[in-house]
Amino acid sequence: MTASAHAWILTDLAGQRFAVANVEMVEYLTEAHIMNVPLSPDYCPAVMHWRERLLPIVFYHRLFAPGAAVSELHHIGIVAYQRHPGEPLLHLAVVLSQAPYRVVVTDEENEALPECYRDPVHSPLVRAVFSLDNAPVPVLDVNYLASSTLRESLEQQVSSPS
Amino acid sequence: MSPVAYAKLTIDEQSLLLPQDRLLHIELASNIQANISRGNITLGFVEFDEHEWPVITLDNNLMPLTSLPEQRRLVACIDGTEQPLALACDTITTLPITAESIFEPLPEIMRHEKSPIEALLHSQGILHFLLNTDALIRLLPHRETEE
Repeated sequence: MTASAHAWILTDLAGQRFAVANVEMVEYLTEAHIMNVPLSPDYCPAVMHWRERLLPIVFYHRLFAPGAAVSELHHIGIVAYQRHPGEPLLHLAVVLSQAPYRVVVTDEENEALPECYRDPVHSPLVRAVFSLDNAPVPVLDVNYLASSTLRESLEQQVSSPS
Repeated sequence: MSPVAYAKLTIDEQSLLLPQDRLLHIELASNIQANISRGNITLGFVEFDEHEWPVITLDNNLMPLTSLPEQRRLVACIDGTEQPLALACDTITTLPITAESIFEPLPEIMRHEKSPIEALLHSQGILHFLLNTDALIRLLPHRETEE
């Protein structure tokens, strides 16, 4: 029997698609007041106020193209993650180029890792890959995206390119 | 018990907070004495409590500067646990802390050994940064070697 689940498709400012699990998508906003935080990584340079909290804002496309331009923020997805089972949910804002949309994914869909994720730094971002419109879409590990491990790995990659 | 007020040091557009009791003394920047032996990010020193306090300053991105901008008119002598540190800044005032003032730890995604920011406070439309002075001190010699 084939199982299916819903996932949300997010599109970054470079037009690249990725997905999060249905339960990880919390809210979609069309505007935000962002505040820069010095010495933060290029892909997460600011925070925004959300529900009496400050959320880090991720420019996902800069994970693959550091310093890439950003446009005005009209599409922002709030995603949830959990460090460990039983711990409170944490949240992250992701800047998008369009509104997120929901799709049905079956467990038969299993695609090869997209090219830009095929290195030791980016591959842990991907929990699974499925096909949408004949193109592979990675399902994100939001926990890794929000970790200091990713930042450290990216900096090591820059300082000692293979 | 948490402090009820913080020293607020401004550097360009940034608001840096310190527990009030970590700010030991305020000196005029015009009293900075040159000391060429300390390295190029140490701008000199001020004398306080029979000690020399090495003075540094930062830019708007909290990176060390090698010269003192005109607007850095004050020097804050900070009680660091590892070594004395004096930070030149534009203004020094007091930020009262209310029951609504909630410091949030710097998100893990933003943490870095070089960042002296320990926590964030969003108050009255301004984002303030709570300084970890020990991290700031540790940062300096490392950055000096990178110059």
